[in-house]
Amino acid sequence: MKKSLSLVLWCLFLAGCFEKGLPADGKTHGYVPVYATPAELKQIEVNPARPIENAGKIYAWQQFLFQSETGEGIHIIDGSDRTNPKKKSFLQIPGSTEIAIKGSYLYTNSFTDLLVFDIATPESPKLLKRMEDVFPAINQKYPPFTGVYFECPDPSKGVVIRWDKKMIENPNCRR
Amino acid sequence: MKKILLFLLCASLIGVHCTKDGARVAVSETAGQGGSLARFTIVGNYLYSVDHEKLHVFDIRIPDEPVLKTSVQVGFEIETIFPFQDRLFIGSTTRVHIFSLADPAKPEKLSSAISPEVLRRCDPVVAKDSVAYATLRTNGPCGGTQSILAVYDIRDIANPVSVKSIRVNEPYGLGYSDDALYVCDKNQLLVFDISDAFDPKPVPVSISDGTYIDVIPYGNTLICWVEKGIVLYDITDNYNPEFITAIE
Repeated sequence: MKKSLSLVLWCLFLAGCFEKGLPADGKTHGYVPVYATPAELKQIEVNPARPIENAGKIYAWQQFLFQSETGEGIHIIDGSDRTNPKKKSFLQIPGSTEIAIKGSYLYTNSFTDLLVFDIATPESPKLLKRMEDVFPAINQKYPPFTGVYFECPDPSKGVVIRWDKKMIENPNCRR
Repeated sequence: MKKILLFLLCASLIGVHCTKDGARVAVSETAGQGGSLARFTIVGNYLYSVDHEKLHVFDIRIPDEPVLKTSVQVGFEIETIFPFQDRLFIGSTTRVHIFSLADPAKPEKLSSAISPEVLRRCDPVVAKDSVAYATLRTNGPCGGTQSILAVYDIRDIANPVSVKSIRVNEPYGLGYSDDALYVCDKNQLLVFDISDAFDPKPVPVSISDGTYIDVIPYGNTLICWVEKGIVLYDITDNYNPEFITAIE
């Protein structure tokens, strides 16, 4: 009882942070969790080159350029002829945003894990090592903002990998 | 009430400041090169990585068997890491933390401010010899009134001194090649002559082939991360980047 009372008080307190309620039609900008299954989180593949859509961080090594496709993987580009660089392949790595290379080893992140790839043949990297749970996980309960509405996450749908901002209707969660 | 809180929050950020990472640094011969917005960097036999609060140190002497040596609490809203000489500059939205790599497995904090009075959000920094350049932009919630390229004298690493501020529009990453400093300024790539390191002078060129986010000067090629992918420039003449191609 005490617990639920304090919860109610807490909700009232949080509610006080909002200057106004939802508009009459219940539609508002808010955050929606994007899910992945545990298998999807670890699905590493070398795929054919593809267009750069969500251009991320860049890295240069020998005659190669690497560009992160933010949260999805790494474009591998042969820049030996810099007037005509060629995208060779796309290394799919869910949750990857960072790149560092030494020798012929590429280090990147995949959500909470550190991965090491052999890039002796740069266009077809091989996963050598996965170090699990070395980086912090994204919060599974709420988006990293306050004073916002959001769709309540449903753990049965998988792991929350990011929060997208969208127009949502009658959201039940806010913080 | 909300406004007062915001004001207090902003006020609490005043007096802190920042800097961040550079591309051209004393990394091992066989390591590649990242940009000024990186969260991973390799120095010698160690991979350093920052998350929002911590610095993680991995021993990579056996390249495919990284060993996590330590995780150090650094601060909040950490955004970038860059190595310069035997130091790591770790940038956050409010200040820069400078760590010594005297013991590369165990970085030690030397100082945590590069200038006593920057009111703005901090962004990437590059360091070169006795000078550091930082872009500070104001489009964050606690931004100041003007985005600037800041110049710091870092001869005394524990006590960096702000020596010059140059107005720019909306700057992000930056990098240098010899005496030319390149600054991503939204829809323009700015070039400064830094032959007098403490007094950068704008070079009158007009370069706008995208929305610029970060740069890596790489030999005679300038690699630019733009919103749509990558743009390459020839910088054989450092002060006059010439468009080569775009990768999308």
